[in-house]
Amino acid sequence: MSSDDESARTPAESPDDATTPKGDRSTADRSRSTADRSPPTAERRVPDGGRATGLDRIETRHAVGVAAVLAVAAGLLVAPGVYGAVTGPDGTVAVVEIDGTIDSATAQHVEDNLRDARANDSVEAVVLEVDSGGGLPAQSERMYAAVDRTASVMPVYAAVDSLGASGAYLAIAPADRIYVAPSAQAVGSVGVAGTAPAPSGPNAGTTGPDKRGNDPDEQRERRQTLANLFLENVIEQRGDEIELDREEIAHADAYLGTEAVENGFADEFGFVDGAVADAASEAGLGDYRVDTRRTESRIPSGIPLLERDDGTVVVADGAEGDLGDGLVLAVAPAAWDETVGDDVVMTSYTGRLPADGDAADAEATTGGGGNATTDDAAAANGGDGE
Amino acid sequence: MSVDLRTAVGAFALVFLVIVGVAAVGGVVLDGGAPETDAVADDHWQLDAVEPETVSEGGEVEMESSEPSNTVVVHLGGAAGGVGGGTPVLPIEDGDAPAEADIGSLGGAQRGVAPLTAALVENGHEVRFYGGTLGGEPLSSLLSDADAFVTTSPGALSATDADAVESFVDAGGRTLVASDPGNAGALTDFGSAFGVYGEAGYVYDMENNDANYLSVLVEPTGPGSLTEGVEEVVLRGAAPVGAADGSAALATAETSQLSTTREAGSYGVAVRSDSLAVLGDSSFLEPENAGRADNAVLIGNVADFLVTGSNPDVSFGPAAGPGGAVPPGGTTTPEPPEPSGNETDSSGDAAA
Repeated sequence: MSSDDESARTPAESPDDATTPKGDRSTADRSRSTADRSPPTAERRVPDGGRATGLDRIETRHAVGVAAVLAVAAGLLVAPGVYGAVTGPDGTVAVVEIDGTIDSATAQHVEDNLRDARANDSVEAVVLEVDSGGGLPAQSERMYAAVDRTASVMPVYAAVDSLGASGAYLAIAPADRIYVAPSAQAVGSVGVAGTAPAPSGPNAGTTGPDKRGNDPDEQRERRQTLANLFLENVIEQRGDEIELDREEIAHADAYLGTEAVENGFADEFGFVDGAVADAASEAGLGDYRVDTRRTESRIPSGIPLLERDDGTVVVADGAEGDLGDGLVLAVAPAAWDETVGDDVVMTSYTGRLPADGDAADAEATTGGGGNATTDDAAAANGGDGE
Repeated sequence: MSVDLRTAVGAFALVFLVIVGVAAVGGVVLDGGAPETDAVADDHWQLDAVEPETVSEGGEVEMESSEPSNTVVVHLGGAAGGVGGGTPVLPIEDGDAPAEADIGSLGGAQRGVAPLTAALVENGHEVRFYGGTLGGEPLSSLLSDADAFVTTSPGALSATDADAVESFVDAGGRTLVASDPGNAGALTDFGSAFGVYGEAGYVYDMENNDANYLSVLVEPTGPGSLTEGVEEVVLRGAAPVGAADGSAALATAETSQLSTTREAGSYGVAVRSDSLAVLGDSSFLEPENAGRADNAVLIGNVADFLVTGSNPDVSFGPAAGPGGAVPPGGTTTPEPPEPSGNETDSSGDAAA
């Protein structure tokens, strides 16, 4: 800029130089004549030098003015940023939701958002907002790994509402701290469930005897292996906190929030807000922004209504979100229904006798977890029966 | 003029390069990229660390007895078997709506005792199946010609049939009752005359098991013909049974627990009272399980027990005499008597 100004002024000065002598033509003529007369170059330089000092003074004043204007402009440009930096939040606490039956979509949501939180410099802490009774074991493991990875670089806290059980508990086990609502209904449930091992019949449609399912011993062993993986993961992450021994954890009980804090499955009572505040202070954020990342709303894409020929409208209950019961699942008893649908009756050696004709339904909700390990619904059913 | 332009361009280039250079160097210095995360520990994911311990596999059923041909009547309860590829279920509660447990088998009900019946026939004995009161020869008639009786479902015996079996046992007829969890009431009703009872609930073991807490490992408590050569047997779903004299032939490990009380301890799962042998499990007879641990040895011993001894001298009273005084499909009911059912209920509820 300044060089431009100078170059712009240079041509402007030359006419000045030219006009100034115009006022005193004789002087100019004389000087020209003196110039013609040669030597007195020094003599001519003296008045020239005097004029140059004046010009310099003017240029400096201009330059200072221009510089001041430029500085004001630049300052105005930068000031809002500085103001923002001084008064704005020190960082962000990301709240990532883990909700509903755990499948690939859930795992993707959590993994993507946690990866994003790690890559984003402004995110200084993460809070997991949990209300899930589990789902597929491998997807739960995937979230487990993502949470573990994130917890190694920033505080990751988890807050459980009603359900933080089975696969969901596996996912949050690596969190630095687990908050539960005192009335949370299922925390823990470290185990897997599926249909009982059964041999498959001969079937010429398969190319090998194990294509449709291997023998019961193998099924039993693999199921136990899945359960052991789950168990080892929990012990690896929370072995020091949980006050139960290995066998007691393997009972796969799902605890109330108030019990979970007592036995170490959770760290303290609290909800998302408290977890956010604590995570922020752990990350050293005095002033922070909260960025909530929820799963896409799982509103069942409208209840499908089918109109029949006779004009009646049939409401079809879409259950396409359910997982197949043929898979081995990491699901808490309380979430079994919503996970595999209510038409699957889970069988188990339960000591409870269903009260009446609703026996099958009651069994579907309360089965799987075995005795006295299930939720309030189970207790209610038992009460009705007596 | 040309000199000024060159200077200006040079100055521009210099300032530009300095700014870009500072930005580049600053970026490298200040921005370390995404933070280094710790790798997720995976040592505990190795198969060695998580593979459950299981029992040995591959026993063979062998009988030692060289008895002449005996007739063994086998009763298997109702339609417990699934149809082609289905999963037969095991009733585990007596009552109006039995909860059921699926322990893994396939095909008809008779498949469930195939290893035992095969061994019997292989050794020259006769096996006759009894399918309940509907149709076929009445049980009393079958038993009058039989030397031994096997049932895997005492709860499915009608009152008349239970009386017939009682008379049969009284007369010295060797009888094996394999009573799964859920048959406690029926077993007690039937076995009390011989000092044998069943307990409500099931036994499980979180430590010593065959890859599942329900698959308990049981051991002989002392020498006996039933447990000769047996070191360890796997039962897929065991009900505790007891005898008046307190002796049990097979018992679970100390680490096992009873479902109703959650109390740890050794629970008897097999008792013998003269000619009556009772096991709290029928799964060890199934083809899938016959080869696990020493199950095959136990099955061989059971087969020997059934065919060894004098022929029972059984005579049934007029109510159930030969010729079928009770018409097929008569007024008998397969349900266990009410009192025992209630008894089991209350104990179950108390535990829940």
